Amino acid sequence: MSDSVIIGIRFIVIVCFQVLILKNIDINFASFQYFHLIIYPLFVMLLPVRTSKPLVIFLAFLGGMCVDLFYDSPGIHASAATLIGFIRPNVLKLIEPVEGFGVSDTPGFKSLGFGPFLIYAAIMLFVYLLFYFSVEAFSFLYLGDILLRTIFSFIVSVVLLVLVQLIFRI
Amino acid sequence: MRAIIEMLSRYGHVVLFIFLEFFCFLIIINFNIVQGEIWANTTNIFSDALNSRVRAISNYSQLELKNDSLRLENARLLQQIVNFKVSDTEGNFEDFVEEGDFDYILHPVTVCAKTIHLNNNTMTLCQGESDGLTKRMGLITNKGVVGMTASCSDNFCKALLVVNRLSQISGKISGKEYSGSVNWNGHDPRTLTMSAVPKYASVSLGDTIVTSGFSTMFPPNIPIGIVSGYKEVSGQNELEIEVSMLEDLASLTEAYAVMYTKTEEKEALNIQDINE
Repeated sequence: MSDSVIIGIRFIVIVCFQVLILKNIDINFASFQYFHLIIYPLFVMLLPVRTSKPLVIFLAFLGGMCVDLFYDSPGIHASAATLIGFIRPNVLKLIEPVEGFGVSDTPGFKSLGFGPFLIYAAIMLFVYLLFYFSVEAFSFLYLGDILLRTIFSFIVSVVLLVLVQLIFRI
Repeated sequence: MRAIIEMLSRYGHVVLFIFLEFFCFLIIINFNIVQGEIWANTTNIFSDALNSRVRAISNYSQLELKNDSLRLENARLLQQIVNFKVSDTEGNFEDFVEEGDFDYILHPVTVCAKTIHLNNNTMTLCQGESDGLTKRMGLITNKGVVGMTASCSDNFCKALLVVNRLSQISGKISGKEYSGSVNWNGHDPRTLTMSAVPKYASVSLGDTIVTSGFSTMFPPNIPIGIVSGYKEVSGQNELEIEVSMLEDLASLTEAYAVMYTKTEEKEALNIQDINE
């Protein structure tokens, strides 16, 4: 199968996993509602290294819009996804191996190794969540709330994301 | 052209990013209720702040216009009150105003120049015959009597202030019917003197002196001042009352000229009496 078909299938699977399963998982305790499982930015992270910058941004936007359709929040996920699509090359530069990326490398577990991938995923996910919750609140009056949501969601999401990677090993 | 293409290939993703974020933002504020409301409120706060600045500036530039319209409005309202007070109609104010049959017409006037430190203090009004002023009209403010017009040209009027040796106003003690004439003794431009009040009139400090309405210049019951002292004139059967004015003539800039519509009728009557 060609790369683009694999990427397409991965896109669909991850987004479906996000909106059909993770969306319905409620792990909040009574009034402590700071946990949100969000791992679909994974598909942005897993786009091949050589994908052109505009295409990454556009695909990220598209994925965000798809998730938004199911979350009933037009534009909120999409804006955050577009942001991580934009910063992806800079984050990749941070974890670039000494010898550089291969031509068809996918920045996943297999090619990067555990440590660099964890840093890469953590940065991307944290930026995503921080931006997402900021836009969702739409006001910095709720700064404490935004930070709490970001931190707790980040912890559970990053654990889940690593688990998914451990299982599928892309 | 080449440069543009190179720029696009280098910064195309930035442009795309900004465009998509902008697009997202538009969607967010248009299709999300909570975010839309926050956005609307926030922009309202900013636009209101800006608007109030702009309004303050434009108001300032229109001050003169507004002043004029307020002056007219004030004149109209004061005119209604003055006429209502002199009318003997019973019934309510609104009915009276609706009839619109007024004896006294008020014209707003502004002071072009004035003196108050001389013996014969006068002022020049910026309005003249073209604005409906004639000679021998009373000048009042909402605080009381300030003077009377003496002669008018097309666009200006010369007026005597009450602090003029020549001015003489018929006044009475408010609430009692003892009348006398109010003059100025030429000393303090804040106090007038009321003479020819009978000795037995019970005057007390703080009483208000108002116009009597005997003359055609002033409607009755327009305040002149407050009794600040009185003494018996030796050898005469009258009191001399010191009246401190309510209006500060030194800072006077605006007034209303009172036109009595029945002046001619009233004065013709006087002449007839004398002739007979």
